[in-house]
Amino acid sequence: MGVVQKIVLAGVVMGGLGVLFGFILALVERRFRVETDPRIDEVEALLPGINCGACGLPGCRGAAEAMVAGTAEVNQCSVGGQAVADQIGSLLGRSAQTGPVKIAVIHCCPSLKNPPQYKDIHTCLGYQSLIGSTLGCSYGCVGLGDCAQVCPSDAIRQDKNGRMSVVQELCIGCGLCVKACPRSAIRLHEEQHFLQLLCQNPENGKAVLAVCNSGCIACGLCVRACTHQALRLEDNLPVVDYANCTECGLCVEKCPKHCLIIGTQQGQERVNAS
Amino acid sequence: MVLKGLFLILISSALVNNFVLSRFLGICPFLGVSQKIETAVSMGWATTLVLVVSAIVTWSLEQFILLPFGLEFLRYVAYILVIASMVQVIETILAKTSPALHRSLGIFLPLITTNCAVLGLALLVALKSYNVVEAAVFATGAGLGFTLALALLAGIRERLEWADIPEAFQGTPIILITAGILSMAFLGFAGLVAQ
Repeated sequence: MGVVQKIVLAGVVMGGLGVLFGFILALVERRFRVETDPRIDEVEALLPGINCGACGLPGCRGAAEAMVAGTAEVNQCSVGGQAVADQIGSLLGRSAQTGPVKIAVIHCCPSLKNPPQYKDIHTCLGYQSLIGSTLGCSYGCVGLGDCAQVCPSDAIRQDKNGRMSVVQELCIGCGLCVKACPRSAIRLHEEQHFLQLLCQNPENGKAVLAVCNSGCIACGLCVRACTHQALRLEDNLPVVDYANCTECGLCVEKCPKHCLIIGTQQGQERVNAS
Repeated sequence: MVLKGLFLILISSALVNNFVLSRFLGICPFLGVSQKIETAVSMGWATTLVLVVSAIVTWSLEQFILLPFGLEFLRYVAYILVIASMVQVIETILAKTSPALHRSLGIFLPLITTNCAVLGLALLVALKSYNVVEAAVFATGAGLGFTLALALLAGIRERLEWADIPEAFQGTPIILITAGILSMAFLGFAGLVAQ
């Protein structure tokens, strides 16, 4: 057989095979088609796509499927917020209100007198389960970064004292760190609630002073300094009435332990200092 | 007699000349899908299915089209065409019959197309001039050996997570060293079947 003939034959055979297998694929595709609602893809495209799981569903695809099926609310994505809820709502013909934007705050700014040693323990949960709180403060940040591990936007950093803090500009308010902290030291607050206390130790001043150089000693100077009746002491910790707070900063100045902060200071200053 | 020959082929392709650990084919899924034993074994079964189906179809292609027309030089291209189509067929069927398995394998299912073990198997069948039954048994053995290698590495990797590994070796280095030692261990089968 001549060379040219062979080339032509090769082309014909390959072409024929291509058509044959194309045919087979089309047949199989038709026989085994899985019907999916095209809206699921559209909703998935509207969602942030971070797959953080804060909505309680398995990733953004799972959330899209649940929203289309009606088993989830269109506002269930706290990361997407109202904007995304509105878009999905108009696509599916439903609507829901979202709450205010939330930011995580880690309520601890310690300089512990006897910082715990972490030989061979690599997680906060491990430390809490195995050792608990024999050294240092039982309410404060362990510093082994369970929260930073789960944060989908890498918003939690470690400062030079070894404690974790949230960079507020990066926080998407998913709440995964809240669940991860074994000391429950992280809480979600509305973005507008700028005044925050970086301590959650409810023991009296003497007990706190014995373990930490910067914990709240319930001296009450902040309460007395406030001219807007926005602070009161409860369980040895100041509680903020955000309706009255004007972020004037008098309490922050007066605090002898420097454990009150306003706004994004926590994120910026502590990250810069580390 | 015939059965003995088939059994020897099975043992040979599964253990003695294990596709992953002796022939060094299919390293990509070997390293990529061996984090957990469950997914590793699922991947193994999927690959075995692809191997057997491709072996039979490529054998038919060889016998009825390539050889009669003297188009052996088209082997590589034609085989890849067949393998790619077969994998797509299997994926489509799997998506309908077992969505959970389909989802857990994810992107690695279509990647079986590029698994050199599949093409390698098809070419070896042609090289050794097996008949269709021998080819099917060869493919089954290859698949079983592949699954075994994956499961072994997955088991070791699951244990390695709790081990105290020096920082320089953490991650890929220790896995590659482990794979090498596994490979050496499988040398123990050498000579089991006179090849």
